[in-house]
Amino acid sequence: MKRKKQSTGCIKSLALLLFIISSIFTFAQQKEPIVYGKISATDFILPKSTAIDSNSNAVIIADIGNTSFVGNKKGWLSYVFKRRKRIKIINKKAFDAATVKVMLYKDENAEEKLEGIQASTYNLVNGSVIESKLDKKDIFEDRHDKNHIENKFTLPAVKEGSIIEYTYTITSDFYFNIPEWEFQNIDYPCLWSQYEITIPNLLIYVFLRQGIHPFFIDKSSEGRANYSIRDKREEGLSTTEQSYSVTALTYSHTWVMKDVEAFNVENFITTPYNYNDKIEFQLSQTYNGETTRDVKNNWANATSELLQQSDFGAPLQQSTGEFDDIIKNAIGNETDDLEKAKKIYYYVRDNFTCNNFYNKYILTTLHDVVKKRSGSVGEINILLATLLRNAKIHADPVLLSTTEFGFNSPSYPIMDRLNYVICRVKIWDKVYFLDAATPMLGFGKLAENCYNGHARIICDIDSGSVYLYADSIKEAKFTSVFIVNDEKENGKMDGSFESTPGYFESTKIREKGEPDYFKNLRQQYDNDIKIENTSIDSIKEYELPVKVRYDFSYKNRTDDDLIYFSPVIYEGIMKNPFTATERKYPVEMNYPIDETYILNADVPKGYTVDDIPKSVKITYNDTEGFFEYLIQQGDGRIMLRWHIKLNKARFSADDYNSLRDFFAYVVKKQSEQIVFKKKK
Amino acid sequence: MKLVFALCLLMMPFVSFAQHFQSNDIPDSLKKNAGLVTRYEEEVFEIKSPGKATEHERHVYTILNEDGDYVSTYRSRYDKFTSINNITGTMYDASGKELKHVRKKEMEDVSGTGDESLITDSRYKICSFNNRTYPYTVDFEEEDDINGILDFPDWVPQGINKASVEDTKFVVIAPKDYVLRFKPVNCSFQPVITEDGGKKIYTWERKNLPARNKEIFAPSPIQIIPYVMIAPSDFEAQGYKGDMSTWEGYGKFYYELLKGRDILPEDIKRKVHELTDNLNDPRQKIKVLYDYLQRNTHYISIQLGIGGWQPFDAAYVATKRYGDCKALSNFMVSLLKEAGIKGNSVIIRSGANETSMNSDFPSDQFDHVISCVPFEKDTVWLECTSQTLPAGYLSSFTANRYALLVDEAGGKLVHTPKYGLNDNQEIKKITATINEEGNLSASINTMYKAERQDHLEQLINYLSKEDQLKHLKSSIDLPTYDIVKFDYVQHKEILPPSITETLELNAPNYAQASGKRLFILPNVLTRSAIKLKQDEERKYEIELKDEYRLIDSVEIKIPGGFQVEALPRDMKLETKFGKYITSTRVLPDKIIYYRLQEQYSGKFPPSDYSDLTRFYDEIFKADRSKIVLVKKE
Repeated sequence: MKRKKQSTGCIKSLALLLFIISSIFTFAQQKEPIVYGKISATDFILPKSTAIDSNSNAVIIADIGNTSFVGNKKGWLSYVFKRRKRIKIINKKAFDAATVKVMLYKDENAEEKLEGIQASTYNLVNGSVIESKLDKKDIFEDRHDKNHIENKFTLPAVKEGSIIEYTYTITSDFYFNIPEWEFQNIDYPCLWSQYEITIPNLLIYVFLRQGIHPFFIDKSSEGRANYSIRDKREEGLSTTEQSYSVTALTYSHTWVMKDVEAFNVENFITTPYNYNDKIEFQLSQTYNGETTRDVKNNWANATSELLQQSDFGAPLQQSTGEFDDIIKNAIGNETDDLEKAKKIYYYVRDNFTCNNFYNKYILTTLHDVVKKRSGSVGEINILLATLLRNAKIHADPVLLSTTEFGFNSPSYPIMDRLNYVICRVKIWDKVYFLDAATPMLGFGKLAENCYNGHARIICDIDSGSVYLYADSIKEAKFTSVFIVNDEKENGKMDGSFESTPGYFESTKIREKGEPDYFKNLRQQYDNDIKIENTSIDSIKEYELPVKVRYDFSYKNRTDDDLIYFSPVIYEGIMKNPFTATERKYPVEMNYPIDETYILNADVPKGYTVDDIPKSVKITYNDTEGFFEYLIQQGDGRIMLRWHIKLNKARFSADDYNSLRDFFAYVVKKQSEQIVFKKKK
Repeated sequence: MKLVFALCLLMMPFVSFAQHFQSNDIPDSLKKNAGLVTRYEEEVFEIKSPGKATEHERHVYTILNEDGDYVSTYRSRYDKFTSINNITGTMYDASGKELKHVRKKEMEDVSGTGDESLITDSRYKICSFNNRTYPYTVDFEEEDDINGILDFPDWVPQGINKASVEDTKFVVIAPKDYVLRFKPVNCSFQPVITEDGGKKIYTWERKNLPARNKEIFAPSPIQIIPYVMIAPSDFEAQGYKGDMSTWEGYGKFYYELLKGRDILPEDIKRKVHELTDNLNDPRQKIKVLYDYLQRNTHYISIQLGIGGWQPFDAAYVATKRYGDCKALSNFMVSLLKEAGIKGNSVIIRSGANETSMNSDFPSDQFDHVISCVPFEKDTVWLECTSQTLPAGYLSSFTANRYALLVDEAGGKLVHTPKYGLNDNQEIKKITATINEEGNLSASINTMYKAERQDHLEQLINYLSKEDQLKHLKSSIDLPTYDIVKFDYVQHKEILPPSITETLELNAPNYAQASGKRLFILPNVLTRSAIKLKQDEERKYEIELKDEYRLIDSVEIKIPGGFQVEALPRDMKLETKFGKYITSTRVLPDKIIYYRLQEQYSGKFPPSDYSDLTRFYDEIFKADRSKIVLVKKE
């Protein structure tokens, strides 16, 4: 089975609403607010709507979509998706809305066609409506690559205050995912968003709905329709064409949302497509008049189907000896399973480049992948699993979606919502998750964006769900700084800095490289401070966090009566990360923060402590975190322990203000100084 | 036995070739600072006639580490004028053994239309090798047919940083009587010229060039990197002929392309008269027509065939109400013409950092078109792709550079205006209060003028209020704060234009109250972030491009009962790079802080680098010095 391009988008698991078509409603057709091509002078005055505010550079007056089915020439059904959209351009910031792009997909067996494009701009000139039609010559086809063709046009005569309207129809053979519908637009408010589907009972879909706004209309009905299907059959040298008419029961549903405001994208959100109002569909069953066939409508079915697919699981089973040389080359004489697994993992990680992090399938063959030394994330990690299996190690692919791709559903296998494959290895009942597609990862380590909740192990023995939560990540950082009076040179002070950041921060340091890291660091220090003996340990040992070390020294300051000293050096949190005053959606950080900083410093020779910050410990939401600032002096020394810890990474929108206050306090405390006074 | 022998013979050329590019042949001098080594590069450009040419290229790179990986992907552009006859890519390991060979039909074929244009006819063949074992060698070879010549390729022996060159060669073959024009830039490379039958062969070659390092504040590459420019004399594309030997000739060619494309529809003509007939001052007419252009058109780029050079005509722009830079400029000139004003299209190179060009070598060094109306003493410049700039103002996108003005007599080089110290200003006034806890509330008024407002001008005109706020926040360096109110007003009446920003913000714990002391940073918002590396070895001249003046006046009310314990030193630095003056005064109830920073444009010898570093360091430090107040006992 060939599949359509991946699209971004996702499901809010809480708002997940599943219903299989079974209920029957009768409904009265509610009237659509627009008739295509009929625009009068009064249409230029926008109705009052709660969705429109001072940020609205354009308003979608109506966005109306309809999906139904027709018989095709390939012996089955194609969907027909028709869209009509009317937009009022308020100012030039929204001129982009007048350029329309429609991406079509095709492969050897199936295609999508775009037809019936009509588009017009309407301007109000001296009280009368002037229409400027899109010239067919101004519709362009941009062939991105052999599978993707983008059709695009820009409307003529667009000015501030114009109304634009367009319609087009897509006919597609890719019936297993009929177009999703976004009721909430990311950029512009929408006054009327309507989607209508009519599906014959030959195809049964699961509906997935997410978002926070209610439907204005949500109705379904049943009917009957005829589909004329044609088919070509080759018998020997002759080709016969068959044509038959199928009468089927149909199910129709209409959804309408009114006055939906634009989605305001904020920081600390995985992707807005996890939260905007949307409905999606996934084929669950097909019916040919006699028998019903399940299509991945539960994970068990999906798993066994995936295992048989030549572009996913089938290559895992093979043991043709094709990879024997590679395996031998990678593991040498090693006999221990864990060591063998590590060596194969290193081999794949270090010799293969991932050129597509959003495709979970084998697009060519594993043979080609080996030859090309590059492939999609699916190709690389399935190759890894295959090599491991051929080396007699229990390895299986695991499907997941990365954070920026959106959530995926644990209850329903929706293939389009999954973009990523990792590999699970079991050795003596110990489980490791591997990713050979991302460079600079260690054995058993995953990148931050893999921690996105539900993931599914695809295996015929112990298939199942596994949950990778950002909240579960341990990312602790520990820094210690010592400062002493120089024995030889009066007034000079010497320091040493040592820090072990968490794993993800270590990866960032590795990506930056040691020279750039220290170049950057030097720029952050005052030029009076000299930095020497720099080193980073474990920079190539990807399993471990790195360790940053350097020495520094302050020049003689004995001329000053007072020395002001900030005790949290080059660490801590300088700026509150939460700048917005309010928040509508959850706060999603990549991992729970846990940072400790220890300072142990001599009081400068010839000085006494005149002022020192107060020790303090505050908790966040009782048990969800704390901030500790413990400082003491004695014996000519200052000791500080600074520790911030949150027990989770994901917070609800209600927590926003308390989080912001918490960080404001941390930042304030960070900036407090110690004052040393010269002894008289 | 015989068969084996024959095989060996066949293998021979391959083996000897492979050995030639073994990675361990590379001398250490070429490995230093390098991510890759250009082992062998050859570009043979053969001019067959004024309108036809062929190009044969070969690039062999040995990639030493991650920094060189990007050359393992080869992108070859083609379009209506250029077709790729053949293209291959081969990868070898360090020992010279072939790992992979890719032919044309196996290469990816993708669209060359990016986000910038709606549609273009350019496409790319892409060959990418991925290898993680260093070093490795890639070898790309390509043969193109060029049908329609508008410009020739420059030869840049070493165009990229962190790349050394073992051997690179440039060959131009032309009919014996063809006048090939060339110019060595930043060097004096002369070709070896030979003759072969009816052809003249020009060969340039360079060997063993060690890798360069990137230097901050270095002049733009075209001022420092050695390269050779070549350009046509007679050329031809899609029936249009030209002679590029002089700017006049180049201008003439472009004028031919424009000919007859300035005819406006009747309704637009009427509109022009309606708008301008009752005005006497031609400058007023220009303003009114430019405003009409801005209100009625916007920028959409469509580049197909000769359309990459020839603009859509005025009638097209009049109906569609969109066009690219050349179409909109031509439309503007047509509007002016209808009002009896002579305007011109001006071909120019765009980009804030693209102010230099080789003005003594007529060739296609441009990528943009604006228009202008010359008067006796000055010229009114018009950027026709902008819906928001005032008439007569060019932003840093096209200011201060040479450009080619096109008219019926041909073309001539003109220079666009430079905005200097008195234009590019940022004047900030802050009135604030700090309470006992150290909380600051401030109202801030800032005037941004000329090039200092260019970026902001884009933000306020093209971003929603929400996104403006996000941007504003990203530019404010305060630990924790709330923006209470913000607003922008654009002033276009007086040139150069300016923008006034009014801002109210609260910053809790802005001043650190610890024990009996209060630490206050009097410089609230203008802190220089420039810090240069001290021990940098300097090879190139220093070029400071921007000229500007920043003035901050800050008044902060403070709670009573404090006395000064420490005060930042007043600064007065006057250098050839610029000026920096600060003063800080503490009165019983308020702090008064003044800061002035000026940067002068100019070029300075490499030996000045340490002085420049010191200048910026002193500013960096002074900008962060705090006032310490202590409670009166």
